[in-house]
Amino acid sequence: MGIENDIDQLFKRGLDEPEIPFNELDWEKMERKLDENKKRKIIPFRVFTASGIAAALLIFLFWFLSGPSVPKNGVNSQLTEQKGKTGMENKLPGSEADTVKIKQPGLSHENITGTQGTAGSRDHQELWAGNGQPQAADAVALAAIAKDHTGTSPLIPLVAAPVYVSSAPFRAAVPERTAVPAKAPQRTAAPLTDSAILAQKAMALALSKDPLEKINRNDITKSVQKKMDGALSQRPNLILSAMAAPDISSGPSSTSRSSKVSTNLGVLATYALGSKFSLTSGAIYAKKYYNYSANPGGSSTYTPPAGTDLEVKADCNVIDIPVNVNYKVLDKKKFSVSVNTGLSSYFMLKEKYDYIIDRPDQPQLVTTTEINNKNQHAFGIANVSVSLDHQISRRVSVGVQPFAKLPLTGIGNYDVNLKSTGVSFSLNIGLFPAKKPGKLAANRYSSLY
Amino acid sequence: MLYKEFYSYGMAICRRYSLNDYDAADVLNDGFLKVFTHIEKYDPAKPFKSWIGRIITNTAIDHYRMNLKFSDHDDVDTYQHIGDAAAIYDQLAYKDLLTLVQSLSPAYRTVFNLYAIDGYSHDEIAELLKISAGTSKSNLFKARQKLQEKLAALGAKKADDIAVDNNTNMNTEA
Repeated sequence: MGIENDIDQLFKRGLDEPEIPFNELDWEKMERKLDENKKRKIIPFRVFTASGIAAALLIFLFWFLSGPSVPKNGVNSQLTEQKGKTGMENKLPGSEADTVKIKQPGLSHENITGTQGTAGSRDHQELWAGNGQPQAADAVALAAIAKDHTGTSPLIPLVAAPVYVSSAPFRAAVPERTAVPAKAPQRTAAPLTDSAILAQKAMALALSKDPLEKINRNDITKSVQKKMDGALSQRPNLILSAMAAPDISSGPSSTSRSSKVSTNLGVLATYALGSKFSLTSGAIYAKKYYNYSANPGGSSTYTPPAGTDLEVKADCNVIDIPVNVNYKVLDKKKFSVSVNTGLSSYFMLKEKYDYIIDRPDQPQLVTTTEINNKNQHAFGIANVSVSLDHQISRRVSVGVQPFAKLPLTGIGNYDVNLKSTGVSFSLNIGLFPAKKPGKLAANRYSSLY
Repeated sequence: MLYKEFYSYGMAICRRYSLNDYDAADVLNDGFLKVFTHIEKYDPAKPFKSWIGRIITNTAIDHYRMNLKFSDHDDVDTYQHIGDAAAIYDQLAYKDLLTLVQSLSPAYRTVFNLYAIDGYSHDEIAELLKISAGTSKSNLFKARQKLQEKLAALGAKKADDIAVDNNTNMNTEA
């Protein structure tokens, strides 16, 4: 149909770009709309921020009001009543079945298994030394040490509970305050809103002499782009993480670091509380190795008799249940940085302590104690870490997290003041994406591309 | 100010798609909100005015999409020329033509604007409005029919007004 449409042309000519006088009232409506658009995004952010802060305060108060003091010097009798120690005194091996190993020059090891108790209550264990004859003096010394060693605790490995920080996009449509200087005409004495400032920048673009002049996008859109990306992006609310972390554990003494590296494996879940805050919890199985030295003049809680060196080597299996609050300090498209803090609960599945006693001119004594499923420390460890996450795809990211674990209470059967530092590596998968924008909104925004 | 600079241009578009000037102002502000919040997506290689116009047009369509009622495809074999009354129609003011367009139903008005004034094809209109091309043609046909009827009535009134004015002038001269 090549016929010119007269009606079409009539209306096209008549309605094409008439001169319509500017209406100030319409601009005032526009300003209100811009302000409402900003407030709509700020209020949820404030609610989530307040919720995150409240959660962190609750955790802190719970720890502050319930955590026992950490032993500093000597024996702390209060620590003898730790949970999980029912009927168990804080003593060196004496109440459990022990395996005693003796190192003697010229003699092979003999494993003597028997019940060893404190002097007067248990049978002395005969120890073979030197000439092969049992040395009663050795047994007495060992028993005395066992009796005196009431407050010393072997170093208990801290479960390196890596604090997972979601690297998934939690970006909500949160507007940022823009520092863009404004030259907009001010109708009232009120300071310019961010929306008005943005409009002024757009005006500068439109009024530029060269309409095709390239604009400084960063200058104009820095604060706005994040808003719209957040509105259109579909970031998961829940993220599952698989983590692995080596760590080095140490006790109160500077010489109490194990030569072995502890390992941690676990699964964590992170739930987004907003664009900045998130909550992490999960379960981590840790194999902890640590040493505890009790040398004369050292900073340990136990001072062995003069001339006697006591070293405790611990090998513990621990379940660590962390509860951490994460705050995102840097959020780029592919990279994010978060700071994390929280509390961990240790459930000691198995504690194995090797007590190595060196005395001058005496054979080395080694005793072993195993304790199973006895000690539990609810919120006994404070977690501090920094997370660096790299987004691989929309739902998958990888993270590296240096962390430190500081004890809030004595850990393990001997209430050790145990610290751990390490690095966690995690693979994170996002679940349950955020609500998708409506079809109309998708069409609306798609028209702008 | 950007808003003021393109107010007339944007409002002209919104008025054509809206039932009245009040609705047109809402559509305009929604459109400018998108302009302000998506300013970073503007491609400097393209005219800024066209970019704004496209955004505002799409906003107008969004506003009425859910309220549009589209008819089935009808025969579009014939339509009548305006014919000899074109001279009178040329005298119609912007306001008259706008009133005629605004008097159409939302469906007819939207299709007529997109095709006759904004230059969209029926296929493009079908994709925008989620209708068939046949429905687009049908609505355009019916829109033209309605406008022609209204033009005829308006033209007749204008002719009468002109005749009355001429008589008045003649009497005055006399």
